[in-house]
Amino acid sequence: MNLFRSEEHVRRWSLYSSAAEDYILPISTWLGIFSGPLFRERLSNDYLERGKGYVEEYHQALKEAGKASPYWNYPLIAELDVVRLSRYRVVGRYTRFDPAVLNELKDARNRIVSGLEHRSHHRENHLVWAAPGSGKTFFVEQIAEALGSEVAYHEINLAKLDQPGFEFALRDAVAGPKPTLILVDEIDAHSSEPWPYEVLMPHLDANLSGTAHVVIVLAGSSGFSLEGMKQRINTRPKGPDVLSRVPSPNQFTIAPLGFGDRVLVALSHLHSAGSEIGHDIQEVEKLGLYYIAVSDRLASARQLQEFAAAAVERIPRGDDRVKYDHLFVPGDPENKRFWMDVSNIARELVNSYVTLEATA
Amino acid sequence: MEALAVRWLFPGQEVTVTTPCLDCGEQVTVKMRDEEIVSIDPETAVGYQLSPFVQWREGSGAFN
Repeated sequence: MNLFRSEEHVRRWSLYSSAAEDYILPISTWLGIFSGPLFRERLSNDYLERGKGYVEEYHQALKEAGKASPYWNYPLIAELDVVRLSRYRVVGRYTRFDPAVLNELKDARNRIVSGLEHRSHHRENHLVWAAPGSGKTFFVEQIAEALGSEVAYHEINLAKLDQPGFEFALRDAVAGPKPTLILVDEIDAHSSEPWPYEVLMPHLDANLSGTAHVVIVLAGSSGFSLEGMKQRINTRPKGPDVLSRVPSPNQFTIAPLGFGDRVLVALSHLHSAGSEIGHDIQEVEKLGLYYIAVSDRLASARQLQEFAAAAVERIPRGDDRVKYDHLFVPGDPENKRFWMDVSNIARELVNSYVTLEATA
Repeated sequence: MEALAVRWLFPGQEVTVTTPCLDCGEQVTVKMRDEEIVSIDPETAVGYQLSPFVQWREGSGAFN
């Protein structure tokens, strides 16, 4: 056991590894773990005979004390047999694993689509708080893509614009002849400036005049929750006016990607990467999925996309499987390191495959 | 023997473990007696096991 004066000291340590970050625990918790019979009974006469059971109790205590870690989720992959991506589809290629999240986002999608399909003289504004990396931009993009060429789509990142740039982007988006979906990302950016919401306000009322047909999605990731973000917006000039123009049913959250989501995203990217080069992917080795789902190196969607494309190119022609080894350049030490780390606990993932059904 | 478990070799006695923090070198002190935590100084002190969990199922040298 390595002892430190605080968690901050652990994270500064030169040998700190994020692979074991779920076991930074208060000393009182460790003392509890080390109160098990594996340690307490060390002086008893029958210690060796009972040792195996003591070790099992000890590992169970470790598992219960550790923070939630993606590493412990390997049984989810072990139990997967056939994955039909369409079952998890919210819209287009945006998928979510958790049924509650899936259905909430389908409802949000329906409300956005409804505002675009039917011209109204009502405000069609939405406010979304999304956990970082949860794919809010992709979610809105996919809604627009699914609607095809009859709907225009504009993406405006407030954080990257100054006042004239923001004014121009909004005017340009609202002026189009088609029904228009507008994503205003980083809605809480420029927090010390009064102009963002002053510029935004008239556009939130654009439908009322009857000349425009727009749905505006205001999105952000600050404040740790929808309520936190609303509190920040509320304290800014014109902030209460902005919030009052977003009906409560149109305020929603996009939950962070969980382990199951990362598995789905991995499968989806591998399938897409294969399709792009005319290589139909039918099966993926479970150990490879596990690696992708827990790897720090593949935190963003873009990293995952590039990684999948490279992996698919390593598959020999005629083979429709993505094997664990295909994920790595030959000789990459990461291949062996991960395999050594997990082969004891996740051996059932080796040479076992998930069948992919990517039909529409 | 794990430092935080060494108390079980001295039943009923107060055991003090003093060690430098591996980051800053300042002292961390834990006093314990059987199930009782007598004191932890500083109170923010934490323990960290470097081995990824997957190695623990089979046991590691540090714990066995």
